Amino acid sequence: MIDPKHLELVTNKDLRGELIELAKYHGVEVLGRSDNYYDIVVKAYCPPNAGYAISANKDEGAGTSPEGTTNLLIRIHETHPHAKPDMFWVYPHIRLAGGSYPNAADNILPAYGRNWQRFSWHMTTHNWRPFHDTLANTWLPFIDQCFSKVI
Amino acid sequence: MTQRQLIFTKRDWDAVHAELLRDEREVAMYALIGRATMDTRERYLVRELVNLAENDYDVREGDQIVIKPATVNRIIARCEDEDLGILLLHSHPFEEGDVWFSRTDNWGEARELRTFDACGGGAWPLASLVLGQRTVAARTWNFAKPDAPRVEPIDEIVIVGDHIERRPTIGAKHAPVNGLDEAQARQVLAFGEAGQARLARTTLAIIGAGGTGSACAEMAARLGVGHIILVDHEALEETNLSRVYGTTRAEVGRKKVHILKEWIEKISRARVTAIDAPIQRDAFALREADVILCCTDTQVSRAVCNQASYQYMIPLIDMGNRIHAPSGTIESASAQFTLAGPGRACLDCYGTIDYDRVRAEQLSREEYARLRKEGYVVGLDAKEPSIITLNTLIASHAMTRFLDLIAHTGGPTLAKFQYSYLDGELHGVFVQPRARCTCTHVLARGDSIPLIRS
Repeated sequence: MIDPKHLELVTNKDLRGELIELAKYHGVEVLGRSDNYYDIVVKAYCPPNAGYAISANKDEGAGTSPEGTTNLLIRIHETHPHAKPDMFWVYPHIRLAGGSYPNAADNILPAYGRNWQRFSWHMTTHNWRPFHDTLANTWLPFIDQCFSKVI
Repeated sequence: MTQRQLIFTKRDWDAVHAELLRDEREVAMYALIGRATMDTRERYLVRELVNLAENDYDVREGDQIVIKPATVNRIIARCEDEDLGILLLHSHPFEEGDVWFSRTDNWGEARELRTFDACGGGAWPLASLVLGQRTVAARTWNFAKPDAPRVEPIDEIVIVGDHIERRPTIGAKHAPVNGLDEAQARQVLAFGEAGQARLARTTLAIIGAGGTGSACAEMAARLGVGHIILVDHEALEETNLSRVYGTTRAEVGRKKVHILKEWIEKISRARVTAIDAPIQRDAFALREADVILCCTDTQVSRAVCNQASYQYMIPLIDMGNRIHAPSGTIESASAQFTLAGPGRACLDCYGTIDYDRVRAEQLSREEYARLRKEGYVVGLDAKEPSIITLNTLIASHAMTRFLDLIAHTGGPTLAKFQYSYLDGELHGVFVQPRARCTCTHVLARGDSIPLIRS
């Protein structure tokens, strides 16, 4: 689901189409534009791996998303689909079940009044194909796949 | 005066001929089309041909055809799925002279296309074509006033293959072409007045006014290309003087496009449009071109040119060279050009575009510096070695290919040409288009989809 007013913020027609597709399966918000990016949130995202835990610390966003889920921020460059996406952010934070941060996931991005946890995870083995690789069929599955790997 | 063109790939044009003139009775077919609308030019772009089976007709005779309503509905559904317009094609196989639409054609096309127009909400491009044994006529339809549709002739059929053929239609109007210039007399001896006239009617977009771009611009001007669009946003630096044509030391600090425009206007009669911007900021300028030359070393400009080439059915020649000399000695050096465009593999099919680098090139200065420090983006700042001889060599090969494309001079119809400097080896490479690629997605969609950032 996506509020039509949020779609109006997106002038990139390709991206708008992809957000409509993504919103068939997820709650989607467009937070705004910054630094040549569209900042898009997939709401109530749940990492498909029991080895990760959503933080219970209020400073890390506990209570701002339904229990056991987080807000997933994906930053899509205005030249999408030509610029390959890279990294993603979450709020509330995601920790390993033991309490520590996952690898390459302890950097903070202050934006929209929140401290987003950055996952510096990169799609290195996939040849990006503009127009065929989309948020719904490539980028979100990539994030799922990262989390589903053995910790 | 708006000039209207209908653009086919050579393969599709041959298929149209084979289908429409397959027997002595009239034959019809459809084509899904996109459109590009510019100030003085409209391009109708053929994406896909749709042949009809015998049972799609109610009547198919020597001088009459009637297509079943169910068939028309099927075609309308395709247009809706693809958000594209329609070209109605049929033949007059009995016509050996100048072919033209009959009164029955006028009535039937108006009725059928009005239905398409209603289904497309007035947004779809609509056109029709009739093919005789030797000639072709084509026209566009506009139903803004439903009771008085506006019909305009299409002036030429452009066929894009190993060469660009511009075939005049019956009833078309043509923009006047400058008379032959004595300056080109020696090359006219080589490829004739017809070839020279084709050059004079050509618009060539050159992206990048550096070592290869300026060499191409100089050659294009001296060859007699009629209109040159130059795109570059950088100022001339002292280190450019070793290889950028048309520049002098006194001009250091001025924008390269303006220097080059003035230079070309001094040496030729070409009309020059200078665009002082990165191509991703003004990509629509590419729509005007008959051929695009990509002479930059950025990946984002390659991505933009590649998309525009297929979206607007414009052949693209991408070129560049690389010298590896880590300690002041050349260890390897190579140069290459790739001819892409409708009917051919695109730069993505060749794997030429690096989308990690596209992203890095588009980052703000601050974000790039931050991510570079963290090691998360590739380095973009390094000054690459560059030599005028190697730049000019590949520019020369690419322009020779361009010359053949336009003036039909002959020579190998290579898609990709590579030259290795140290061992002197030349070789051509051929790659098949990929099934799921940028080129298949955007082909002939024209203005119906955005071109980067637009």
